[in-house]
Amino acid sequence: MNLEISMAREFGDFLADGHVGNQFRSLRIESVWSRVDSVKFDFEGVTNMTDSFAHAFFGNMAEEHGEELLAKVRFIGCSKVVRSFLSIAVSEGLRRHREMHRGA
Amino acid sequence: MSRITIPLPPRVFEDQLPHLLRSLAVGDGHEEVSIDISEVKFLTPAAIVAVLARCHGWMARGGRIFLRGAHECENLRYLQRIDFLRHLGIDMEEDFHRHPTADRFVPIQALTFARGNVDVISSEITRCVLPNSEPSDDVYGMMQYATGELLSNAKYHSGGKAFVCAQVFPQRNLVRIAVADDGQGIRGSFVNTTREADAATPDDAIRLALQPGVSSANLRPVPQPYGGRSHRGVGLTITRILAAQALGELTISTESGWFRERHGQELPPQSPGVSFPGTLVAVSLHRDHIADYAAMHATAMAEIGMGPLDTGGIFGD
Repeated sequence: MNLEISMAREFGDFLADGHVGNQFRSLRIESVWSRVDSVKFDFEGVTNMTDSFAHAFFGNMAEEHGEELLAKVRFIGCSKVVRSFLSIAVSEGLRRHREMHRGA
Repeated sequence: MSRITIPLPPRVFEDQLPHLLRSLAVGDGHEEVSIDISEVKFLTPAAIVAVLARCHGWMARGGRIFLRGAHECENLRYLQRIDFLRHLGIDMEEDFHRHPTADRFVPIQALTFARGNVDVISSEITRCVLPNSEPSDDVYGMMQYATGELLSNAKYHSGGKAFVCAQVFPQRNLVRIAVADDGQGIRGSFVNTTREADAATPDDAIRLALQPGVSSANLRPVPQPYGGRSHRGVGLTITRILAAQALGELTISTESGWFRERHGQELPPQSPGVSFPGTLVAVSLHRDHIADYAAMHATAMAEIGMGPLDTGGIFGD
């Protein structure tokens, strides 16, 4: 199964609220994660976001799934600003994932 | 029946905030509080939302609020336009026609837990104070980001009972945003967390909240709804750095704690006796010092030790 999520359709052009991002991640992504082959997040129409949202949604995903996230997830339609937020949130999540699993 | 009248000072900018907050504290414990606005000529957004938050706190505890001196107040029309009276539950006839407030101020908004509330209010505020900017403009992005982070924090730490407003000072190219609540305060948000001991005083709690990666929401031993972290604890830190880059200011008041920074330099404490039971955060940004929002944000993240790693081919076309 392949998922494609239009972020603008789900959240509007400004992704601000971390709680909302975390809730969506849990209910709509994590609940089907093991059954999907790929997840495409389309950021077309998204002009800005907060660090709260980026970390609550994508930082948590990266922390949970580590390298598997890089294999399964694609971000498309990203502006320069959106790309910067996502890069940092995913990087931080991967760092935490590696710290948690170091020596495991 | 205990009653008290609190005269608001004529002008309140950030410098006069401690005096205002001390004045408001005398209303605690009274059943009826009259707010006297007869001398008011100008209130900065921080002052406006601070007064509102305190009044709503008293009302929540059964107190009654009255307004005095409205007809003598030079600033009455402005206070009506910004919906200050409406949020106090005071219905007073307006002798003017409301017209678009763009590029001057944003009427007070109440934050709630409704989904989309933070996104919508942040964007409305940004559109109002920057009516000639596009969402792709750097100044628009920065303003929207700072507002979004402040509101996202305030929404959860206040229990959905905060007030926000913004003003523009065109001659100085300055935008001021402030959010205040009468909630548990920053120290209260660290109670029953693993860092409670580090937030022993209100001043300690402010310092802790400004540390990158520290969010009381993430420190609670009980699992959060949906798992994971709803706040990474960088929003306030990044907003502080962005304000410094934009030659702005950050002011935080909670209980007796006080923090104020201008152009990235902390100002000496000036507020013995300040008492604000909830949390008040005010940010100002100089519009003409916001050149490259993405670069400024990346610099701020690097400053707190967060930079992008190689995330492989995660970005498609």
